[in-house]
Amino acid sequence: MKRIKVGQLTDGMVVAENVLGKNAELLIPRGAEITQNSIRLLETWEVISIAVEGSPDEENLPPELLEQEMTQLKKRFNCDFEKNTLAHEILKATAIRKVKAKIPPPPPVEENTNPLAETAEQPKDETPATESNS
Amino acid sequence: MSAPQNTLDQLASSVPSLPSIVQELQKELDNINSTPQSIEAIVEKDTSLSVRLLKLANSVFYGFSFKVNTVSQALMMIGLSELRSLVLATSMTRVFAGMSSSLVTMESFWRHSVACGICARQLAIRRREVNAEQFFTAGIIHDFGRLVLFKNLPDKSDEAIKLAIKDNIPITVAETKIFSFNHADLAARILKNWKFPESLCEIITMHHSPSPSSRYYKQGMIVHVADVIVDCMEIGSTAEGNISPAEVMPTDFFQNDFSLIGALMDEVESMTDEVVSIFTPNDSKT
Repeated sequence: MKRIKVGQLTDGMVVAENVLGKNAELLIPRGAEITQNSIRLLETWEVISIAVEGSPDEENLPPELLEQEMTQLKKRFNCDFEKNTLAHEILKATAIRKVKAKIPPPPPVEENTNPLAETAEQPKDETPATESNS
Repeated sequence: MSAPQNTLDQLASSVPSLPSIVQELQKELDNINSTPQSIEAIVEKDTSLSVRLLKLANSVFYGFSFKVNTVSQALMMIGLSELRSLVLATSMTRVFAGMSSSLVTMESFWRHSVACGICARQLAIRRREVNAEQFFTAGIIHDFGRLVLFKNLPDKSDEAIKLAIKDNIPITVAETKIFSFNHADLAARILKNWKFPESLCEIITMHHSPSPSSRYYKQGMIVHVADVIVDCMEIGSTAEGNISPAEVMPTDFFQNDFSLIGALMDEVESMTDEVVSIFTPNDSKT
């Protein structure tokens, strides 16, 4: 499961956690597929980010950068992180945000189920151009 | 024991009483016979308050799809407990406009406080707490005691911060060494004088180390967690030295879905600017 901003959602992504509105009303249930309609709904309700299926954020980030941020952040704490899971998760979430802010966002995952279709189309636009001048 | 107690009492009583309009409103809000009309009438006497109320009602905070144009509409939409937050927060910025410290600015202080209020509120909503708005108030005023210390004992306050940083101890411990009491005790005392609800006083008292035996433990923990999150994100600051989470924090606080923390952070970040601007005393002439 990973958290993704509404602006970066694409068709076909699967909602991993119930999406709730500002007053905890259910907007989109877990398991639903994202469509243009659901994106519009989320925008209308000003939802900022939702959880979708996929590998978690930290697995897509350079581990050494994440480690570096976490070490930096730990210096600002007075806390035994071994014993305090929640504090550690807060630290990690902050570190993830910091790393994300530093590196360009990963290209949106292409949802094209048929990669062959794309390559097949490409040669087309080069064919009937030349010949006809002077 | 009696000497420090005196200092605490003296400090608490040195704090100016709330503006009369606030007292009037508080009284009316606590009055079971009050009506929307009677409350509206009081709010409308104060133009700047009315304006802020309308701005808040039209902000991202609520995200209504229509424009809220009148005070009575705003009261109906955002509710009376929100009104209480707004009124208290606004009047506190007025009372403490002259705060000074070499280590923190008023602007940064308010930014932290408002962000903490938003974070606590959003967290409470996700946890389906009743009366989520109470957490907005609690978050906004959680470090109120520090304002009083900065205002009345600025040098010693700075000393406490430096001590907390030097020895890597929680600010509350450093304060106790220097003042014999901490800012949470002080705030609770003042809020009691101001006749705040008991739940709010208790939440503020334990916002650094919620006590599991308190009947408001869960609520106190929400504000504590919000405070730690906002501190960690470095949204504003109340200059408390290092972040000191409570030794015991419930592991199931996010129903084991820790990705909620990131979501919460996104929400706080996106709402803070607008809400801060509503609460910032740009009309400090009053």
